[in-house]
Amino acid sequence: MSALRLDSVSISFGPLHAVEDLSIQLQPGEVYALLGPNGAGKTTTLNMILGFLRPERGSITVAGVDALTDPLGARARIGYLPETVMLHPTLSAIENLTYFALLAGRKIDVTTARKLLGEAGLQSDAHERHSGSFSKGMRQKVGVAIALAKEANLLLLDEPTSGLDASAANDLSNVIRAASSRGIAVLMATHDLFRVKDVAHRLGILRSGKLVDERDAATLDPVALEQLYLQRLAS
Amino acid sequence: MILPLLHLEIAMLRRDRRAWWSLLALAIVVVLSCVSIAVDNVRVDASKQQVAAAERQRWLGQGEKDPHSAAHYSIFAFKRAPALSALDPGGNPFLGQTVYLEAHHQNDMLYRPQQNASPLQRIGFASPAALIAGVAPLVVFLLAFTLVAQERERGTTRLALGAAIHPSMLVVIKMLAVWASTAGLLVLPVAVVTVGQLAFTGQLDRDALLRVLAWSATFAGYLAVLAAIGIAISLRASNARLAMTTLFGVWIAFSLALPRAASTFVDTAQPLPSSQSIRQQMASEAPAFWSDEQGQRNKQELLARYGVSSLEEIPNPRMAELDLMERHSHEVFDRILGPFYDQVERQDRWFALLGFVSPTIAIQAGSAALAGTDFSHHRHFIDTAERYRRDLVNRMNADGMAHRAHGSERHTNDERLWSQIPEFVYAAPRLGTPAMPAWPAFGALLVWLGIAASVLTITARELRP
Repeated sequence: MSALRLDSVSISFGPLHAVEDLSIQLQPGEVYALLGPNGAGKTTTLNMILGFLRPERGSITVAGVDALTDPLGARARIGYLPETVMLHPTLSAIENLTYFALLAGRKIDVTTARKLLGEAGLQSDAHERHSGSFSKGMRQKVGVAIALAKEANLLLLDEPTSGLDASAANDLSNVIRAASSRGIAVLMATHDLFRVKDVAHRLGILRSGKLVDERDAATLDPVALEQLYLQRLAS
Repeated sequence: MILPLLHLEIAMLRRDRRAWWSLLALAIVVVLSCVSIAVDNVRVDASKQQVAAAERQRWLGQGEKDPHSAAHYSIFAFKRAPALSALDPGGNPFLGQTVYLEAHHQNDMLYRPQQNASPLQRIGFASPAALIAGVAPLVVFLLAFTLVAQERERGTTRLALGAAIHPSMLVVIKMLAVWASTAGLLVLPVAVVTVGQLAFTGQLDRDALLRVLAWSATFAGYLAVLAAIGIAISLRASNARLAMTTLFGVWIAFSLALPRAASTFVDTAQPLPSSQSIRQQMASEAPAFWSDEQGQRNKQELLARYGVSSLEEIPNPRMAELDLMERHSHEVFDRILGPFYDQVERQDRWFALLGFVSPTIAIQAGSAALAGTDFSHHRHFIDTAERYRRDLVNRMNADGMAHRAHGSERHTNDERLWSQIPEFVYAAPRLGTPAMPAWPAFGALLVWLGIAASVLTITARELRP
């Protein structure tokens, strides 16, 4: 069973075709990078998978659950990391993680919370601190822990390395690889070609809502990937 | 899952100091006002008991005299503070605590607590009910704004909706957090203080407990309406600033503008005659001293009533005439005061009906009725005291009429008769037994609950990140 399957999905905002006839399939453990410039339709695609937007055509299935007829059921199988993770500033990292896990229907104890935050790369001395004082990278790590806490079949990462320093981005790569090794599929929308080459098994390039290319990441070295990306955006 | 989530939502509220400290400050003022009124009631009620006992001794020890003179000597009847007046004094501070019961007169009540009130009490803003009805909406809206509008502005809602929780459940948990915080800090403590006060003063019976429960449940319902409205507006507003402006406007409308407009409307639609004109009418139609012409009419009526041709044939014509005029005054008082009191209750009913316009009006009308401090409860005391007065005067006059006395002769009696008059003991009516002009207020609150729940449900359904 596919972790994610998009079949001929389309959505428009007025005259603008935000996503057109998009089909993608991810197997368990597969890491897929959705590349594209701003406005290409990456975040719109993620919003449709999450059920925040309803496509005009096509179908979306998450781990066998139809996301259009049962968006909550589909969302239960998705760990979601938005581009900018906004936490409750008056709650600690542990409390934020507990809170969002509870919203997802999972009750976790402090030990599990510490373990998940550690896996996400958050220093232990930050676990008890109120997240209002956290940097973007630290918030992102708590966001990753929240996504992992759901024990989801699919991780959706929206520009996960945007604004992160090299160390934090590297920590995130490790998390993605670890998740993949546990059979969790990962769909990341990103501009970060280096990170794509580092962690993705496959990549797709979106331009004006259309998937214009799709490759195995292993077949491309970093330079070839950059050239391909620029060509596809220019053509 | 709901309880731990609720715990964390309340933790968020607690740690947002602006909203939480506003709630704490209000809670402290509410408890202080309740304690202050309760202490005052206990002190004044103890004085009333002492004076009532002294009054009884004065009555019994008045010595030998003409029974009608005894009816003039008479006694004061004291009204104990209603059991729940620490929660909502209602009209009590303005309505007097004792009435002098004497022949020929249905006197106004004396010693209004408002005459000794603090400046804060004088502006009518110092009871738990007034504070919760008028100020709590602002605090509830501030809490709802903190928990919802600020979160939406910050972007946290997106992450929350990304979890597999139904938006309705998310909204319900936030609403419960606001409701539980406000009901827990504003209603529960004063309910406990009141139960303690009732237990201390030996007034804690089934009816008092039922009233405390009903009062608390009604205010909890009011806070639920406000919490739901606050959260719905915070969710529907396109940004936090608009949410705050709208909530502030709703508070002004609900708690300040509409109750005043409603009061003015009721005064205009159901105007009351002035109490001065009522007193004047009573004095002119049932005078304590009557003219020679009235004396002649009385004589003819007595002759007809006794079936005799001369007053000499009546055992005690003076007392018979006094009795005649006393009974005439009862009919006059009932004819004048009955419609006047009915009109006051009609005003209360109209005001309660306007609770459909604002939940604050509904709670203002309903609270005093549950606390036993509205006019219909006061009227029960007035009627009870008046029945006692009439029985006492009639009894005195009857004793005089039963004994022969003519010209300057006077029949006298002593403690043997005075002691046959029972002590005045007043028992406030049980909940729901007096006319409840405020009953539409409870219907209005239920409708508001329904409206608030519906708006919240629709808003939750439309909730998007």
